[in-house]
Amino acid sequence: MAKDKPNKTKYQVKVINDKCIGAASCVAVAAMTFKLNDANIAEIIDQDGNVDEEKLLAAQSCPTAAIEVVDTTTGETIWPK
Amino acid sequence: MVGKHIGIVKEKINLAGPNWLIKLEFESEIDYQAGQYLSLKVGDSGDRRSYSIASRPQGKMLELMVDVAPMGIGSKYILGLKIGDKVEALCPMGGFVIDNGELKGDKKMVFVATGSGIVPMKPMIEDLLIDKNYNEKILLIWGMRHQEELFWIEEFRKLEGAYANFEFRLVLSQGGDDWGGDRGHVADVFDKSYEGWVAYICGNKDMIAQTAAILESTGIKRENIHYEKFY
Repeated sequence: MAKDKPNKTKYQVKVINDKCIGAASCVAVAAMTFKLNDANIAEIIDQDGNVDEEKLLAAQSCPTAAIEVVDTTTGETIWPK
Repeated sequence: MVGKHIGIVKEKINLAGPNWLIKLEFESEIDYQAGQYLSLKVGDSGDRRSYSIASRPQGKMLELMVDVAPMGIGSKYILGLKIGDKVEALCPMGGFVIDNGELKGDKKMVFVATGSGIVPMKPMIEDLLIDKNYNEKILLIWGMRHQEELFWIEEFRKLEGAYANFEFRLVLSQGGDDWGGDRGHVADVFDKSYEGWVAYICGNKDMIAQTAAILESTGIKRENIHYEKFY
């Protein structure tokens, strides 16, 4: 799903560890931003690894809503709504 | 590689109680492995829900089996689908698939599911038996509560009849007076050593933890216990 790495993205993502079940949907959608660690929990490897659209889709496809997305230009939480 | 795919609802069947089978047809074949899931767009505001794929890879058709009992946004979306409706799926996703090393190693396999945790296992087992001609022992243990919510029993019994290496055990925790099969919980069925076997477990978090611990005590190595958490 990953396109060319963007220079700077405006969406900042955060993993809520307690909610993560290691389903890896975020990794499937935005592999340059997320990885699973040894405990099978999603971890952020690069905030600018994927474009904003992919980062948002990664959060939306998380089965447990374990990823928060904040628009750094407005401070608004984009996801979950 | 994961991507967005548009599918058309071809069939919608109530299997039993809250369990609905949805048959989707896509424009082209979707490359996925038995056991994986997809993320379905279930609302205009970006909401998505994950559903295990209930069919083994077979051309442009793909099946979902959804338990709508939670009656959340995903359940309502599924219930509202009509024949001919278009759906947007993000797939394939997930790593709950048969380990290639184990496949080559001809390992005996035990699959343990509760409730709709059976969904990814049906295509995994069919793929092993029908497509891969897997000859080693495959044991499926499925735990449900009541007879009224059972589905796919005939399909599993047919597989049992066609493949001597496949055994299906159904356990009901709240079977009625007329229930003549196993009673209790899936954990009650492990009555021997499973040393050298590999295990695939699908259910809720507590069920997985409990089942994995029991299987480990019967001789299965921790690294040979694979699981998919339903939530």
